[in-house]
Amino acid sequence: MPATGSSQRSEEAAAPAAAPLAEEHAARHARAARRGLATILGDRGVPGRQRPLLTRLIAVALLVQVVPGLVSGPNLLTLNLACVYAMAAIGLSIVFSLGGFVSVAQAAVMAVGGYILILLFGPTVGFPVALLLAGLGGALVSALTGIVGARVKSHYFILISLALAETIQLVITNATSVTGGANGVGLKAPASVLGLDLGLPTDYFRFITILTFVVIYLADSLRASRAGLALRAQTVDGYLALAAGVAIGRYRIMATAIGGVFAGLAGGMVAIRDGYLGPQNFGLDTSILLLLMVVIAGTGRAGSVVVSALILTFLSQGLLTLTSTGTLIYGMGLIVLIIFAPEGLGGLPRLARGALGRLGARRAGTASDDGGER
Amino acid sequence: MSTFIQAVVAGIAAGAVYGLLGAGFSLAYKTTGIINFAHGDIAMLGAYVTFSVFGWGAPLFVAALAGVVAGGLAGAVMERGVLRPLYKRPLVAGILATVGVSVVLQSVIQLVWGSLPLTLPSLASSTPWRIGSVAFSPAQAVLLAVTIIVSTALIFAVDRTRVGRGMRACAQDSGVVVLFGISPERLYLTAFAIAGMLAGLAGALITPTIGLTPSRGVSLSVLGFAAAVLGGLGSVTGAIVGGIAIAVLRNLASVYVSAGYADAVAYLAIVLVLLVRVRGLLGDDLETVRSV
Amino acid sequence: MVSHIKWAGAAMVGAAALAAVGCGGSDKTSSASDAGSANAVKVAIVQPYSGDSAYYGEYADQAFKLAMEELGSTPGGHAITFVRGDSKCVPTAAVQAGNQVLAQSPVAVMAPACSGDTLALKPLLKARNVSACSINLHPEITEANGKIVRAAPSDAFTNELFAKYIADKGVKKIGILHDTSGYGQGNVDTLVSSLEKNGVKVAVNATYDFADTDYSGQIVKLKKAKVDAAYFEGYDLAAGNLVKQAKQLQLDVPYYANTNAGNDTAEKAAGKSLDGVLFATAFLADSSDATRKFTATWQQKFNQAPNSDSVDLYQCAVVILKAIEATGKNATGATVGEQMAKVSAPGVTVGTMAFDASGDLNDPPVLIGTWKDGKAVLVDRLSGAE
Repeated sequence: MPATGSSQRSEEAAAPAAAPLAEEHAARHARAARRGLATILGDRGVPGRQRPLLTRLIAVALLVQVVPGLVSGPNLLTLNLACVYAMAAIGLSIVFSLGGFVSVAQAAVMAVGGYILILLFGPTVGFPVALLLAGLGGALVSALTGIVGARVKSHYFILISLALAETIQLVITNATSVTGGANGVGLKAPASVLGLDLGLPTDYFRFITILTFVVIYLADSLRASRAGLALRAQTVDGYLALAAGVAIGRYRIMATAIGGVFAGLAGGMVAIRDGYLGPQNFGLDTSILLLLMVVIAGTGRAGSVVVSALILTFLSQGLLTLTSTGTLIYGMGLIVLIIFAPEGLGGLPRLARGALGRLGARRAGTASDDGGER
Repeated sequence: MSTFIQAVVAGIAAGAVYGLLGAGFSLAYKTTGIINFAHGDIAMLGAYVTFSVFGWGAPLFVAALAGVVAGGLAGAVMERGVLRPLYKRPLVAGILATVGVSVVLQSVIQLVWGSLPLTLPSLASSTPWRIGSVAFSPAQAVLLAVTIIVSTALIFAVDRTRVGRGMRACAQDSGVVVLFGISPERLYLTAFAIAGMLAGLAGALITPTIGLTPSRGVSLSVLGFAAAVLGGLGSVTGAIVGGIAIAVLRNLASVYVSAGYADAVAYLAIVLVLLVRVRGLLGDDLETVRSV
Repeated sequence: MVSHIKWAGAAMVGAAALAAVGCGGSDKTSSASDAGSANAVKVAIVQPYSGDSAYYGEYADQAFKLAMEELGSTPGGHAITFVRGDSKCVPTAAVQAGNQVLAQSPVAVMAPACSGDTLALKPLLKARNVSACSINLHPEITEANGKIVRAAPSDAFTNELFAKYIADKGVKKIGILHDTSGYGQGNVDTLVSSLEKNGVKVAVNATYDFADTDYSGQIVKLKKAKVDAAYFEGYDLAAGNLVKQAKQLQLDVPYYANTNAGNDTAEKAAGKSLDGVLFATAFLADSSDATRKFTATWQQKFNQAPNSDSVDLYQCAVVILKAIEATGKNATGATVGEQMAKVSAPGVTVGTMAFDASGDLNDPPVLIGTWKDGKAVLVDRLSGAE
């Protein structure tokens, strides 16, 4: 489908030029542009190798079996929350690194999913259906930002996503008869799926791990697909991508929609985890936290987003925020990380190696420079 | 009719402060391209300093000046310490760093002043004058007057002085200003210091109405950002107009539509303006071609 | 750049040091509980300890400190360890914090001061079979055979009396402004239904947001509706700011307000504008011998005036300590809970605290107060013995 789209595009571009010479000229240009893109993408090395599905399945099976035995109590709950955030952050990383949008509405998109699930799920609507609808709702709302956002530039997009987020918050707090307003709303029935009782933290962990891996798999597949290639192309150079016949607008809206699906699912899982939802779960601070997870992950790979989601969730939920000193350290840590790890967590090993290398070099340098000018 | 006028008049007085916030926001953006989400927290810092200095027995006017200075210092320190290494990095790095600064400022405020809400008296009496059936207080008049004086001075400075021209040039091409013997780094510092001072001033002006709480800055940042975007990022006049427009719109929406959804109406208006006019109300042509 | 690295380096060292201290701290608590005798029990305090409402956490700690000084620090021979959770006035955070502290098997819980947090915690308390003492005013906090006792009157009760009081003042058409918090919503819902029962028309019922920086739109709306009285609900600062701004915009009608208008913070925000505003509350510093004595002690000890929140938290601390004392040897969540339900302890806002079947105070106090020359004074006592 994208293939025909793009060839149509180049035909359209060439059509006005009646002369065959001009047509060939245009085609050559398009080819060159595509080659250029390939080089750029090659430089970034983004497609990367995908781990085989089998390895992933084994990893999931191991995690699901082992972790609930090792981790328990509050830590397991935080781990579950980290998985929820990881799903939403993977969604946001699609919006951000493939769509090229800096969105502060991801938590609000989660809210839409969460409220859809908690309001629908009950004796008449089963859990899987409600969860799917949550994902769908997230997709629709998120796509809305894409449709509006495709028309404006990045700084203005932040405000548009902010406007959406605040409006969703207002609707939740003011439509008290439906949402319960600031008091929130409770889950009507206990949820279970695949023989797992999601009211138990252990079973919840098993399910959310499987779900997270599905999300990771889908995200990586999207990245490697033709649509993913087109999206990456437009983030590297929008004009070049247009010249190569990539339908930028459509793909970007698609990216926001897919990012929204994951956020919607994550929102639904928040509702299941707490058995309760309130608008405060999904404020601007949560959106910013998700954005931090994406940026600190660095590479945009779903796996590294999970790692940074784990770290940031434990940091923000754990010991550190009990006092204002904890918050102070958290804020400083963020600044330091942003300044000194330009490639995010993914770049840290290289950064460390570089620093060690420099240190070694300096030692060697001072040893040999002993009689030098310094 | 008098209801309508009253809503508009009260909106203009409230919006003047949003405009000041937006002006600082815009100025920092204009020169560096960075959206400063710590702007509102700098305003709160200024307000807290005003509170302390006033508490030590200084006249309120002097205390407010101390708040302005504190805001300016905070802006400058932030530019030197946090933002300088980030100019060459993608937009989002700078923005998130300012979020980090905002977290730091909030916890510093909480450590120093505690979380109990505090209050400040206003610069002038809040007993209103009655003009027809419309109430307007000396406090609101002072607020409006300060905004007009400060923004006029600022617009003059940006348009007529060497530094101001440098800032505008810097927005266009930071490489070229070097050729004219202007250091872009010094311009960035100046821009953030002035933006911080504007924030501190806005903080000192708005606290008599809303009081002091440590994380109030977030909503001020959002208001400033909205005002700046509506007016056209980078335009000082635009930010003032944008701030007043937002406040008036919110007031009219709460009176005639629904108080609960007043903000939503204001946001909808902003989005519509952006869709029709990408550069905002008074943004310059530069804004439409600027790549970020 | 160099200065930059130094700056960041210092921050990192600081962060590491604090993290180490933090970990050390948590190790200590766990080792203390391991080494504890059979008599040691844990009491959980779930309160906002960070964010804008962090002062509630501070009040709760002070309340326990004072109560333990007065009643002894080892009630019934039990040494008490506190486990604290930071609910931040955010229900999800409350659930998270609640799970964390409940995993350590406390025998009783001091419920968070924000109604929404406590509502979110209710299912957890049931699942763990632990009882909590709450100071929340939201009507749905307590229920028959619930796990929560409440050391403050429910808004449903207060507002029934307050609505009648307002109607008796000859008010026919009232305008209401309230915030969108869980508390504000519950408060106004009960007030509106009671007002309507008493024949008072609610002409405007408008909301404002916590984050709002200006209320002029809402107030002009009240003016437009030509109401003959206004009711303002708000947390400490907002309660004062609303009144001040309404006066500024010349909304010249009698004002009524919720309990927070009686707090010092509200007075600081609004100053003389608060004079004559009638508010319903459970606590006034100068309303009885018990409150006068308590106010003096608290003021002297913590160098700040108590308000209705700190008093109620103190009462909760007393209830919890008394219940542990009455339990005897075998103190668990279930046994202490039983004792909390049938406790009879001296109170400040009421002579004796005792709870009915659903956990609400017997004979709850409802006072009408107002401000006069910078002091909150008693106007009328609608319920509760002195």
